[in-house]
Amino acid sequence: MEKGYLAFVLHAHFPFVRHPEHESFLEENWFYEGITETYIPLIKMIDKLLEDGVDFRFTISLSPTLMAMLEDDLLNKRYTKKLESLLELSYKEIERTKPYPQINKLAHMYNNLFREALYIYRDKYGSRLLNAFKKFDSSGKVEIMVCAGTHGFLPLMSQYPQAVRSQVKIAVDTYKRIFGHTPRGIWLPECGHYPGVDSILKDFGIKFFILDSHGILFAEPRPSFGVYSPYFCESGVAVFGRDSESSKAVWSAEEGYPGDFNYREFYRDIGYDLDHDYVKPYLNGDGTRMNIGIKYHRITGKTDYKDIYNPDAARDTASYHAGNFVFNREKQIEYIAGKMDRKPIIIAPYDAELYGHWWFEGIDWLNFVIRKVSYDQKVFKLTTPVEYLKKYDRYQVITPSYSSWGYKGYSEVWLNGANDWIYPHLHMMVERMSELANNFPNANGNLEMALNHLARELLLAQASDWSFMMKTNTFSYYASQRVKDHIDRFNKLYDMIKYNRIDAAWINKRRFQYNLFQDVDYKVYINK
Amino acid sequence: MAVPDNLKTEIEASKFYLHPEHEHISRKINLPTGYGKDRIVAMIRDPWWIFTYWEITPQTEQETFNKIANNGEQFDRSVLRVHDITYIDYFKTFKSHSYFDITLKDLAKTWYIDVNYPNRSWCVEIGMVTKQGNFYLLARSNAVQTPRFGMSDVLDAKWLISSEKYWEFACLSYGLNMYDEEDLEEFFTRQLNKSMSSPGMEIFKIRKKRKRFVTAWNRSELMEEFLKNRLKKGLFSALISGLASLTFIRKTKSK
Repeated sequence: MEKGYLAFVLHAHFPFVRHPEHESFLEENWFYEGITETYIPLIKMIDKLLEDGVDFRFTISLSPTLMAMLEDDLLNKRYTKKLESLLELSYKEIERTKPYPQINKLAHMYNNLFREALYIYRDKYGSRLLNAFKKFDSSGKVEIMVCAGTHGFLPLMSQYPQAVRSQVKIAVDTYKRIFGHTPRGIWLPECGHYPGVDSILKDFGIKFFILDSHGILFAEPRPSFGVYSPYFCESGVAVFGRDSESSKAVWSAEEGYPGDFNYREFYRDIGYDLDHDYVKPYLNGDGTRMNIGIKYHRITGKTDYKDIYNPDAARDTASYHAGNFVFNREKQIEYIAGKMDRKPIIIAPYDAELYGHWWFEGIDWLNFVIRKVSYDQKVFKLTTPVEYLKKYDRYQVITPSYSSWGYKGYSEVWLNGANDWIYPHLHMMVERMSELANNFPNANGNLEMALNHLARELLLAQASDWSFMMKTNTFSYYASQRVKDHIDRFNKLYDMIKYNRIDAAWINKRRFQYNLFQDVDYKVYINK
Repeated sequence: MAVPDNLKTEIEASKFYLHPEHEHISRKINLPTGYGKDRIVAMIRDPWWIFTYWEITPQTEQETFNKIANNGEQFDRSVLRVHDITYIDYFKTFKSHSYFDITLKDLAKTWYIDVNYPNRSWCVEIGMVTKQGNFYLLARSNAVQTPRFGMSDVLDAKWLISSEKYWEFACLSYGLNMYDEEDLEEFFTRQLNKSMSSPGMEIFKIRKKRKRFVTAWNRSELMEEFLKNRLKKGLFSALISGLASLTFIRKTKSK
């Protein structure tokens, strides 16, 4: 009989980046890389686990903007083209690297990966990866969570409950349309929590969410079992806490697995390393050097010198790390189980894109861990948060603390000198949105379309990605341009509606570009 | 590339990494500098700091100047008045436990306020103080509560949990042995010397009763970062406001 449980939670998200006005658009590559390097390998892994009849449980959160992109025709076409051209390049690489057997082996590896990716993407799932997740959802082994609408950081809009409600409502509506039932769990963007948000989640039928450890440990009243048991909020929504020890195994700069010298180096890519004329057709339109996704080096050490990658050694390392992870969880669970009146649960949440994209061998590692847990030990089992909740009748009631899983644990990543200029605008947009919603509670026709699109511009501006990118100085120019664009278009549209001069053609052009959330309903902003 | 201390942030940012630098040529957007509405808004940054931004229309400013003159008083300075309103319905009674003022420079429109106390409620007013010492309100913010930092004192009658037991689970949550002083010591030093990827670990600082030292460390590091960010933006006025808050901190500390 098992003594405890482990729940993996992978949070998958990209902000909505779709630019039909350009033939190719650099930032769309974020999403394309995510598909090739994370989502397809993950789907492949789960498919194989199901096929092999492995007794596993796994939890994935999909953000509504990611879901919107995954079901978009234009992005699907562009992605297929992208993958086909990658495949073409990999054939060229097989030829080019013939004199270098070590690299040639890698060229073959990429060629296989891309061929398989194209098969899974185009042939197996008909260019609709959501079909895979729908299948997993009904397997009973995979729990699919949702995330707030555009990944807005909720604590920094908490003085406007209607804004939080809107982020949650569009998320739940999008999920329901795709999966045919209400999501049970929600991933609060960046685990951003403020006391009281659970009552809004409850209104939309949400059963649980996940916080960083201190969100639970600093809760009131004092929590009985640290992060090793879920709790109920006053509203009856359950909350789980992240286990730092298992997180550290992956996230920690000193002890984390992904930094092992055998693993593939993220920053060395043929997009930079090879002759410009040769790689140019595979770069973005303007020929600026960028990551292509073919990388031949391993981390090697802390200097700039990088050895050639050895996939067999990397796989062995992933297997070794998986064994180490499982062993540590066994010891951890055995120890904790003796101190509780119930079986402990360990929640291990990660950004999905860490696996495959940043940590190339990460999916192999996950696969090894899952199989080792299922076959090689009896101390603990895999579970999902929902499955665990059914095990006991009573859980302690607490109010979790304001917290996030970002650097320093609170709001500073999204509120600092690099990005604080956005908030006076974002907040005024909510006020203006509610002002118009209050004025026109029963709009129809063009007015209704205009108000719904106004809500869309607001939601898009609220994505936490923009302030994160400004703070980390990663494509911060694009991030601030996107926020400014949404603010500007919002204000223009606000004036149109307020002064009764709606330009339907202008709105439609904008709706064509930002075609997500067709079922958005401005009425959620009514607050009188 | 060297592995930085804050790996988690770097990994998250790698999602958006395509190449080192790139700028689009796109349309120039001028955002409104204000919305013609008097307001001050308070937001939580962490257990010790709140952020405020405000907009006061020239009309309101003029009216207040007139009011001051009509009362036979003279304007002295513009201030942020930060009220501790914990357990008080301030908006009903306009009473607070205590307040402190921050003198504003002309161009400042935002401010990071070091309130210094977790788990308290705050309300920020912007106003003018006269040479006669009276306060004229321009705008009042929403109420915010700084997050708790550490173990709750509130016990649950149904789930009685001693602090010993609590710390045991807290240590477990971070994979530490609470009885091993050296282990804790090492962990503690590591947390202080390096940026943390998991800030929740800071609870141990309280446990080790070194809160004062830690608070000071927090202050200087956070302030340095604040100034660096501001300077990067090249805002002279922000530099002034930064320096002003440093002075303010020194003052509070010397009290």
